[in-house]
Amino acid sequence: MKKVLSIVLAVAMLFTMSVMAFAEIKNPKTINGTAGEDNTAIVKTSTVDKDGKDATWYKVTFPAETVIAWGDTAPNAVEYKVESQLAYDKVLNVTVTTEDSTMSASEAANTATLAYVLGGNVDVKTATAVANESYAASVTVAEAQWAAAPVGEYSDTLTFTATVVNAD
Amino acid sequence: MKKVISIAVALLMVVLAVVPAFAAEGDPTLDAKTTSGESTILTKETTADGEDGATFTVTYPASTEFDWNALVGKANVDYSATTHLKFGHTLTVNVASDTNKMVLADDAQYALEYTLKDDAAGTTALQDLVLGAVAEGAKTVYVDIPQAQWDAAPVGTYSDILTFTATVNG
Repeated sequence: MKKVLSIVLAVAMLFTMSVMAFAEIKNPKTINGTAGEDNTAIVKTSTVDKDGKDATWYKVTFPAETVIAWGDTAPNAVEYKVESQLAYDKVLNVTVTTEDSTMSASEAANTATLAYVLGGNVDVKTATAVANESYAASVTVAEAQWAAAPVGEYSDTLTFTATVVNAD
Repeated sequence: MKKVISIAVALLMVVLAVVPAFAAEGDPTLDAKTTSGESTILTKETTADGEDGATFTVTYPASTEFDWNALVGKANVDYSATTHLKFGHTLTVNVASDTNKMVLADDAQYALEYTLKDDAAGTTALQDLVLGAVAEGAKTVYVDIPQAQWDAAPVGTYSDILTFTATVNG
């Protein structure tokens, strides 16, 4: 008798579990076999992910520090990478700026400075909403600047800014 | 023994789990939450070849010939120097002779004794040339051979060696 009851209860448990598999269908439509009847269903994506967050994203990776050898008059590259997945009509604009294009000495008593030219890719827009591109700004110090400054450590700050803008 | 092995394995798993936490930091990034960031550019004190960026040059004549009986102001040695040193450093150039005697080439027993002076009148002993971190300078070494030395010396070719010594201070 106990064995029979056990089996019955086990089967009953199985049935209760299977009930959940019959999930509700939203906006159900039925086909009754009538000619010309609409038998289509729409499938579409949302612009938010399963967590409800905006699915568009971008990432700009740039160096924390770029070291320039003393006396180097060649353009020194400051490389950065842009990755994005934006709305179809958007692109990413990245700018690289400096306040005064001048490096100051780390020693407070040294008032000498090194002026430089910031060039290269300092204002770029990605070609498409989905992008994976590498760019490079450049820092160039002229011979006359090196010659006039006591040897030492001079530094300045470049600011990277990213903005989502309308595609042209 | 089994317990010891179990504990050892458990500790090993914990160590392996934390290793990824000691990963090196990557470059800074911008995204929708961080739309602006800073990057530093800075110079180092060595050249692209790894050489010290600080340099100096002292240029002096390999040989200087004086007229016979040349008195102070007429027997001069000119030299120059340029510096590109670290901030706060200076260059000192010293010129000196070991013996202060110009010796006759044919017979070393004969010599012309002299002193080095800082001015054409011969009133001041020769001083060092001192230049700042980024500078150019020139100096004349006045060789003072008194008339009495000339009068007592057989005519001939007398010579001595001047040593130029450059020292970076700072």
